[in-house]
Amino acid sequence: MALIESAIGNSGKVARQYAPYVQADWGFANHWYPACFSDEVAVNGVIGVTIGGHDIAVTRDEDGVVHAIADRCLHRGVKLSAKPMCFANKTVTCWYHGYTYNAENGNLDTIVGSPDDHLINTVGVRTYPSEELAGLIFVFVGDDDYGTPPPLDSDLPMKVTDKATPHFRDEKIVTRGIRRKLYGNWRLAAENGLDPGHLLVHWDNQIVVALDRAMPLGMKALKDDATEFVDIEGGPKGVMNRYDLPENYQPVFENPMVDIKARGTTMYEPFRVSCWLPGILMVENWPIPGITQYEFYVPIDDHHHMYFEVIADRASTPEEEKEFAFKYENFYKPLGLLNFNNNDIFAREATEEHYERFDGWNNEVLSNMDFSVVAWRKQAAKHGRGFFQSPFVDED
Amino acid sequence: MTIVEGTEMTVPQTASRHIALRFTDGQVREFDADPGETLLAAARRAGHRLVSQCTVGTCGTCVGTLVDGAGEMPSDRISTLSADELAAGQRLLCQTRALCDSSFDLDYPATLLEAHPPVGFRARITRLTWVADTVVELELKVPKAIKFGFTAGQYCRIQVPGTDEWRSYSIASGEHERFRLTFLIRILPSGVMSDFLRDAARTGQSLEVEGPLGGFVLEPAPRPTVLIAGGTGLAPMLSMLDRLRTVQPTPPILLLFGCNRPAELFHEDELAARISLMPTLEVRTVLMDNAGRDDLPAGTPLSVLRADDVAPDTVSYLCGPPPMIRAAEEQLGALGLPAHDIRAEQFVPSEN
Ligand code: FES
Ligand code: FES
Ligand SMILES: [Fe+2]
Repeated sequence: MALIESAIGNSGKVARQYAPYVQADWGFANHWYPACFSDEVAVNGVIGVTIGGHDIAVTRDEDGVVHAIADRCLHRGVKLSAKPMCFANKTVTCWYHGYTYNAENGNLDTIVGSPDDHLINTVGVRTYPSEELAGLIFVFVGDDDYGTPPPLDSDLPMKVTDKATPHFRDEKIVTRGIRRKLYGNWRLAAENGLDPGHLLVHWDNQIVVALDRAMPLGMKALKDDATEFVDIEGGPKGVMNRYDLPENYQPVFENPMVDIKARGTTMYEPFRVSCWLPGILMVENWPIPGITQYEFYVPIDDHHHMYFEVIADRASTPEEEKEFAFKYENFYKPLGLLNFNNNDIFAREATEEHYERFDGWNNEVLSNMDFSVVAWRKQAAKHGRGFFQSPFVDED
Repeated sequence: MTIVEGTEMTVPQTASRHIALRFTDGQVREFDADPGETLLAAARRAGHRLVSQCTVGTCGTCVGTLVDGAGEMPSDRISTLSADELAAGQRLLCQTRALCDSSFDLDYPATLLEAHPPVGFRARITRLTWVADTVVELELKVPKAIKFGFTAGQYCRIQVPGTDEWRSYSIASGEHERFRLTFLIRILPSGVMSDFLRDAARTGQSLEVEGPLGGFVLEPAPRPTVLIAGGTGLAPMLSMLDRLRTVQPTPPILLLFGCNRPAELFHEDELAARISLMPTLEVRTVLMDNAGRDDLPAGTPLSVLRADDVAPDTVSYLCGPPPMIRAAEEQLGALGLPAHDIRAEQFVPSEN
């Protein structure tokens, strides 16, 4: 009963090592996902998002607490978020005919123009557990009957203890970021983020040139466990490329065969990269030492994902916060989140066609450098808590 | 005041009324309703699912036609039924209380609300792989326009092209992959399906399929599970494993899998992969004749079943040839499993 040892090859047998991952085209259900940034939802505001086919309306009540309910009016199915209306505290009213839902439990509390309708208090829309943390609003999305959700922390990157990496659970954490809806399956995004072999797409990037940074052409894994499997009981599950351990990876700086050399002369702390369920990247010491970049790849449907790019730092004083905001606006965001990450987006979009239309998941030729991508696939296959499915009639 | 077919009468406060509902496919569902109880609620209480939506008398979907007896609807509110419709016997079952034993006609088949009503369709062969000397794995693509879904454990009938012969095979793929079905098919020296798959079948070819069928289904509650499979009886077990993987909390699962001889053994890699994905899964593979594979025990799946494999709340699923099923039922029964916790799907010896 030998497991297929090698992760290299293009047979369907390789895919069997992580079959549930190949099936997760709509994403893994029953996980916490970021819905939006905190400052996107004002008091009595409503914002609509789609996660794994679930349309969700996020609202904030007058006590500042966020709630998430289905963004689909029971009456005739319009999205509540299409025209936000919150007349009374902790309610969301449908702008079309006035069905008014309780934000806490989804109950149909009244109908604006038909207050004694028999339907009132007999039906409701579903609600989703939600939590706000460090500038992000998280929602637990999945099966209606899943039961008590696991803690949010099980779907965040782990808090590393060997480095002073800023983490969402830090008291002094400050975050800023953007999100954009992109074409492409969420898995292609997650794999691109982790992929130690993809540095070539950034070879001629402005930030690398400007910082005169010694960005390798590739990272050669030296050991089987160069990518660490992290499986914390009741906590985060993910894989970590231990670029920080010289015995694990050898950076490749030149390839004489094609006469190419890494640019730049400045060596930095290694930007250790890790990927976590249900699809979160943590890049430590990036774009500069001491800063951490988090990315969330939130499935919208099988061909689109919401790309969250978040820069995290620590700030204890208002001055430090101001400094962070300034650097974010003038450095991290334009050069890192936009310019640099646009290289990645270009690559993911280019991959989409092969994977979705030509069955790329069973039809790819992986090499040594894909070791950590395969490690991620296995980890995700093992710990995904279920599957999202298409909500559309007559479609998969 | 109550309205009954346009006349006024007093409701007799007697015991429950006997209700019969007749569906368009001729099926009849009977149950008792208490005097104050709506027929929709009474049917639900008796375990019959009826078409309904709002349950408060506004949507009009629960309509039925009174053919016998009497049923009253509230008269003090607007109804989606017109006076003519009421006079013609139409009633909203979510509002109607029966005044005496009554029967109603419904304008849909009883199977309409089954989780996955069987459908017939043409499916394309997308893969045909010999996974052992005598076993073919067949993958079929269900057209997207077909509303097909199933519960792990169910089977499909497949027509042998160019003949009137149909054969039944359990679905081996998971419920999630409802547009890509796989089957494990034992190839016999002769037999219409065997001959077709061996000699004529090509990817791209289309087959007539009907399904899903069968009541051998995985129950949703997480319980310690023992799966016992002989040969291609592994198919429904694979589908069940797919489902069990995401059940919370994942129960302990034991799979006992037996084949005749090394050349007929298949899916060792598949099972190894499942183990790597499912921490609570244990697999014991055996061969009747293990010559050349002395790393595997010789015997039947039952010969590796131990007394401590079965807990009081264990549920077991069996699939394979009738003698294996009989022996397993006996052995599991002796270990204390009640008959209703031993579910079985037999191979029907149909090849010719
Ligand atoms: S569609 Fe929402 S109230 Fe009518
Ligand atoms: S269920 Fe809507 S009228 Fe009866
Ligand atoms: Fe990148």
